[in-house]
Amino acid sequence: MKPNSESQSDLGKRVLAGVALLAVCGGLLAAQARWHFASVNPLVFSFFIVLALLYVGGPRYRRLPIIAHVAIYTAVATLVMLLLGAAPWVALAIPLTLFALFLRVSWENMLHGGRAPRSTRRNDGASRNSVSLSKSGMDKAKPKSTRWQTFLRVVRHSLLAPWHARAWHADALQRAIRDCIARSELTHLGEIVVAIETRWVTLDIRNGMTPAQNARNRFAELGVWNTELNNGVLIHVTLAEQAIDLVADRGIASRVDTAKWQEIADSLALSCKQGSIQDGLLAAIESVGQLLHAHFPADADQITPNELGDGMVLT
Amino acid sequence: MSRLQRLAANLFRAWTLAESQFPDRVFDSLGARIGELEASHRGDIVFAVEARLPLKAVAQGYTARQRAEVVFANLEVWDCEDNAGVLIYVLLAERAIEIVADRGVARLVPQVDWDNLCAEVAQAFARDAFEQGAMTAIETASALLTRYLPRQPGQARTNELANRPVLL
Repeated sequence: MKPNSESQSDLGKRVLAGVALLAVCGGLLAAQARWHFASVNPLVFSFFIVLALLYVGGPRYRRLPIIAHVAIYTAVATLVMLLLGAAPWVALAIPLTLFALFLRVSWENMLHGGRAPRSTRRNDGASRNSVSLSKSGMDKAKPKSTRWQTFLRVVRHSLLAPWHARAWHADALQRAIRDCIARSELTHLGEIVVAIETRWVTLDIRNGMTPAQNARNRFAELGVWNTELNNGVLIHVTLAEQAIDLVADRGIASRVDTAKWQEIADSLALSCKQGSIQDGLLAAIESVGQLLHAHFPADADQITPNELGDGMVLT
Repeated sequence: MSRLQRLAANLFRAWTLAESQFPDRVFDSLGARIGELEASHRGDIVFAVEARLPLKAVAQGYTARQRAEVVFANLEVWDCEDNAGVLIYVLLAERAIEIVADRGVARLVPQVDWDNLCAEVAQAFARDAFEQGAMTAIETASALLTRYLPRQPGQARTNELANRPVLL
């Protein structure tokens, strides 16, 4: 017996059922002599279409029980039929509902093999080597935030963060940081990366991303781990969350006390609050450089490899 | 494969493949096999399966190799002792297999061995023998790691990454 014959025949049955249902619905609709599109207010109609699309596309709503899905689909289908002016055919709402649900399930099965795909961006809060600091007032954004809090966060990310970003994107600041990192890396074998992130995509906010987790994801994406001695350090600033995170690779994290990282993050947060961004960042790079120099000093005659770039990463 | 062929493959060739060829049962057995074989070497194998790439990315020339390197970073395969993580990435639509080995492994194992492994598995995938190909990939990679990076008898085992394959 072939190992997967069962699931294939199962799928075949479902496809057949879908085609049959489609034929029935199509036949019934074709039997109706004329459509009443002209009598539908397009604005009202498009409102419901957008609502339905949002509902299908939103991951948050997929956690509803199946009966709620059926109820919502039935309501939308009934409204659409009424708006089309097809009053006698409102009875079709339930078969249409079941068919739409069937389509969605089979579409998801086709795409993901019936299991939820695992995102490569993690948001499970596991951050082993990082030290995170969120300034007061922003700590409300926990993974279990309410819809209202999520909404406020979205507003903050999309409207307020770009306003803050101007100070951080200044050319003079970028030049100063680049020179400082280049100078610091002459004295040790480590790598320092400074990344400024303005805002997150809305999906991340809705999924309850935390600044520490986000910094760890960025650590992975920017390739700070890709060093010979595992001694890359990422200084990450999320403007919209006003959060400062330091992520250190295992080579340096195992030799340095966690409190040290926390101290650096604290002093950077303090100087940002006082408005001296550049001084704060330069001081943070200096102190990270001193830590790296203590554990991975460069020899005088040795050319230290520059494995990662020196410039600030702006997104 | 030309870009047009790749587009067609990503559009048409992976419908229901992830479901029919890699059900939970197969994932369980692959994960168990990875765990068994890791007892004899110091590496850490992660097996990732993806049905298809987005068409827009394929049209812009994004290859399975580039995707595999991104997956290597995002699944945090780099985060294990001795830098001995190995990612086996399978793109079902293109019947492609890519192997990304961290620096600790890459400097020990010669490239020829990886090439032979990929050629063998690609043949199995071309016959649509996906489960067999996946098992071959895991066993051959483990054999390579056992040869070049064996675990000494008294050495403690640090299984830092999950063994069960990942569906992307």
